[in-house]
Formats: sequence, structure tokens, C-alpha cells
Amino acid sequence: MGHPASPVAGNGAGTPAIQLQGVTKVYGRGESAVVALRDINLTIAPGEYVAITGPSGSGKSTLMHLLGCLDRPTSGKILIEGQDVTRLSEARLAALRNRRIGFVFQSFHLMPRETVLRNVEWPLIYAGVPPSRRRERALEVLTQVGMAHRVRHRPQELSGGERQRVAIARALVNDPAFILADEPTGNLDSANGEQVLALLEELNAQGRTVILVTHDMGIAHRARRLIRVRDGRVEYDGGVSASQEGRRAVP
Amino acid sequence: MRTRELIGVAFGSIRAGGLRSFLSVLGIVIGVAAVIALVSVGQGAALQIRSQLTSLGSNLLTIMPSARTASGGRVSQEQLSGLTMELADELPLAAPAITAATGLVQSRATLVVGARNLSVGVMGVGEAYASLLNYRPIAGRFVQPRDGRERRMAVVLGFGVAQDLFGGEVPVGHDITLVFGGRPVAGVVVGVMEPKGALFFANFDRQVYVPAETLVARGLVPNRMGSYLAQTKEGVDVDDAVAQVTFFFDRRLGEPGIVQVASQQALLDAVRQATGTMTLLLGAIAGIALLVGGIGIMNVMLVAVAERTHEIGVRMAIGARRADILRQFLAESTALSVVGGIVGLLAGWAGGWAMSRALGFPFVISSQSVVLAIGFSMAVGIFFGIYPARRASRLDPVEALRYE
Repeated sequence: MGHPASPVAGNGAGTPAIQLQGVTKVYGRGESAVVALRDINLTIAPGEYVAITGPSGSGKSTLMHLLGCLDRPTSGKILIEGQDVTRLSEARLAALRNRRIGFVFQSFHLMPRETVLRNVEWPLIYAGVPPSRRRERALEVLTQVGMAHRVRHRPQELSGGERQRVAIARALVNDPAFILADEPTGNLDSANGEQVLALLEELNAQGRTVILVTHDMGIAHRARRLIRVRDGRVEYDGGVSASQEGRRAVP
Repeated sequence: MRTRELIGVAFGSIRAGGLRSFLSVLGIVIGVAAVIALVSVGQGAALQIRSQLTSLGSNLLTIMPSARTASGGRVSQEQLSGLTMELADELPLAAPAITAATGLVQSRATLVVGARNLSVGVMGVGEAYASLLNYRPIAGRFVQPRDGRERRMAVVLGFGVAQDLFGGEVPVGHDITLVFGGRPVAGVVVGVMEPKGALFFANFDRQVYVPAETLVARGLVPNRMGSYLAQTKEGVDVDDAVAQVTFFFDRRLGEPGIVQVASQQALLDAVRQATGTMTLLLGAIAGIALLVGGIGIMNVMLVAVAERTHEIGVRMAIGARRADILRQFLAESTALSVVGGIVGLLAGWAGGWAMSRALGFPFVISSQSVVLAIGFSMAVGIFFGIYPARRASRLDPVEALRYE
């Protein structure tokens, strides 16, 4: 550990997008307790493009769940846009996930029985957006990811790359501040993976904070900031090129 | 989440469930179908009995020897022998509430016409019988007082009897033979009655009507009336009429309690009571069927929640609140059981129609039973869906997402 604050974080007077203060996550109790994260301190500024890496079991998934407000830390504070989310009710957390966070998963996680359009509409349905407005907005984001020609198809009729683009459209539909992508290229060939990464970069260029969780260093190096997690601690937090040197030093 | 989306998702899941959805609601389908069909037949039967009672003519009283035992162990023959046709003639004069009355005796005989013969019920009656029952001859005439006084075997045929023995021919004036237990008695056809059908266990159309006095005088039946029918005056209180008739018979027979007087209202009450008992039984069947059906729904919903754990995790990640998940699964269980209820309703409707048809009852589907069927199946869906839906809504999003 030992990297106090991100160098990118101090670049303005604005509220950090995400702040973790002394976050610890323990699973289980007593003898069988497993510490997944220990005293994590992180600050992510709005508009950053961050890659989180680490070997399996390092705690990166736990970290992603906490950042995505799917779970609560055992101790410590998580501030999203200045708001302490560890104290929010379940319903407020759901609303936060719905409006501020867009998830992109490795296995796409689309609803198989529903059309592409419907899949993208769900976050809007949960947000209580009326049907006509919903359709319009869903078509807008599907156009943005180049999937507008497939709205009536079902997920299983699409290729992996197409499915992931639909999933990104779903993540975008409520205009979130953060995109949380968990191994988004893990199930894709390199060409499709490249397309997805290009999309994420485009979203970042639009000013959205993108957090990419991956174990693939090649992909991680596309980000501008790298956070490496090991044994529940932040092992490295800094620029991408510096990390490469550090990596070479420790084979 | 809005109702439209809820219903859309619910029916999507039911369709996707296919055979499994169908099997899970079979309990509801069978339960609702059984209740609808049985209630329909029960109401049809009650309606028919009521309309038959009404068709008997309004304000009828039945006077029967009491089943009650006397001091000697049973009502003596001597006391019963006081039950003559004359009492029926005197009753309207003595009891101001009564307009007409007749005595009745019953027997069986074989009717012989040429080479043909037919076993029939023989009803010994007085003239008032036809008017009391709104029962009219379509050919010839009914039994008249003179037939009785002259001890003539004037025979009026029920519609069915006339059809069977004479076909289309009008048999008035035809000589026939009635064989009572091997003893032939000559008679002549004086009339044919209109078709009237069955009432309780007696079919009017399969009987013949002769003067009661003739049967008694010729020793073809015991020397007394089997029962009496009396008609009360329009607007007279039934209880008053019953009291007057009871008083008359008790005085004439010299001892109270030899006969019992029953009003049609009492019969109607008995029918209503029987119908009520049946409704209660049907309610019990319905309750058990819906319980079993509900357990089927709960079972399939628990399976659905387990299977869709991952989907629930995804929904939570994209912003579904626990309440949204709860509502989604409740909508699904409710839709499932309401579909079952509707299918059961249609099946019960068809079944009730077929059974009424077969039994010759009028077909009745009350709007109440339709509303109850749909309402109850909806309630079952909600009640038995709550537990699985709560289970779904309480899943931990991280655990659910990890579940494959």
C-alpha cells in the first residue's frame, strides 16, 4: 500500500466522484472470517478512466461491488459524489445504481426472453420514465452503440460483441456518471473487444468516469490510471507507464 | 414499476414456463372447474324444484297421515278409516281459508288395450285435483264428481301413457282394462292430460287418473284416503290456513295429531335448506382445491425464484428496488392463478352445461360464482405468491449476481 491519494484527484476544487475512506470488508465471522479488503483509501475524480487489476481472490471483485453500491463495507466510508452511501437505505441505493451507475458485465447479463429494446428500457422502467419517452431514449443509446438496427432481436440472436454493445447501451440509458465495467472484453474476440474498449474510451471522452476491472494487463494499460489490488490492499495506484516498470521489476 | 410492465413480464414468464406453468395451475383449474360445475348443477336443480313447486299451483297444502305413533304403538286403522273423500268435500265449507280440496289414493296397475299393455301408476283423485295443480286435459275431460258417486272406472290418461298405448289416436271413449294385482277391472278412457313432466319422484305423464271413490268402493286400495291436497284462498296467511285445516281434521277424526298439514312454503324452505347445505359442502371442496392449487403455485414460484436468481441480481444492479422484485414475482403468481381460474371457469362452465343437459336441469351460471372464482384464484395467487416473492426480493445482489 502506501499511495496516499491519486495524483489525478487533486486537479480541481470539485467534489471527488468516488471516495473510499478506510474501507474494510470482512466476510463471515469469528474463526472463519475472511478479510477481503483492508483499510482501502481511494479517491477517484470525475471523468477519470481507471483500471482495477489484481489476481483472482485479490479483492478486486469486492472492491467493484462496493464501488457499484451492490454491497456495504464492514467498516469505513464510501462517498459517491460527496454522499456517504454506507448510510443510505436499500431503496436509495437501488435508485443510485439506477441513475448514477452503469454496469457492464463480462457475460453481458441481458434478459434472454426480452428484446434488445426492452432490455435497454429496464433501467428506465425502474426509474419510472413514461413509455414513449422510454422508447425514444432507448433508441437513442442503441444508436449511439451502433445497435439501432437490432432492436427487435433477442439477445441469443446476437453475436457476443453485439450483446456487449447492447449491455453498454443499457448501462448508458439513464445517463450515469460512472460506468463500472467488469471484464467487459472477457468473453469477446480481440476485434469485438477492441470495439467495446473504443466505446468505453468514447464514453470517457464524453466526461463519464469509467472504472474497468480486469486481470488483463494489456487492457488495463488502455486506462490512464491503474489500481492494482493484492491480498485486500491497494498494491499500486498511479500512472499506467510507471506501473509497467514496477511490473517488470517484480516478475 | 407500472402495472403494464408487471403484467407483461408476468405473462412472458408464464409463457416461457410452458408445460410447467400449466401443471402448476392444474390444481386451481380443477378446483375452480369443479366448483363452477357443481354450483351450476346445484342451482339448476334448485331452480327446477322451485319452478315445479310453483307449477303445482300456488298456496297448496298437503295433508298426510302423521308418522307419529299413537298410544297403542301405532295409529290405529280405525282412526285412519275416518280419512274419507267426504272430508275433502267438507273442508272448503268448514275452513274459510280453503277454496278447494281433494283426497288422493295411489296404486299401480297394468293397463291393457288389445294386445298392448303398460304398467302405470294409478292416482285416485277428486275433481279438484286438476285445478289444484294447474293441470288440464288436452282431450276429453277430467274426473268428475258423478264418476265417483256412480263408482265408475272413468280413466284419464297421462300424456305419456296415451302416447305409448294409442300413439297419435285420440283414445277418448276407448274401453280398456286395468289389472290390479291379477284382478282385471274394466274401464273407459274419458280424457287425456296435457304433458306436465316429472315432479320429485312422480311423473305425471306416466300415470292414469281415476275417481278415488271408485278405487275405494271396489276394494282396490285400503278403505281410506292416502293424503289430501288443499288450496288456500289468495291473500290468506298460510299459517292461518294450516291452523284451520289442522283444527278441522283433528275435530273430525276425534283426536289431534292423526294428520300433519304441510304448506308449500315448508317444502320451499326444505329445498332452500338442502341447497344451503350443498353450498356449504361445495365451499369446503373449493377451499381444499384452492389450498392444493395454491401450494402448486407456491412450489413453481419457488423454483422460478431459484432459477432466476441471477436475473434478480442483474435487475437489482440496474436499479430494481426490492419492492420492484417483490411486485414482479407477485404479479407472476397472481397472473398464473388467475389464468388457472379463468381456464377452470371455462371448463366448469362446459362441464356444468353438459351435466345439466344430461340431468335435464336448466343451465344456470350465476355471476356471483364467476366473480368468486376469479376473485378467489386471484387471492390464492397473491397469498401463496407472497413467500416466494419475498424470498426473491430479499436476495443479496452480490450473491445473486454471482449465482449461475
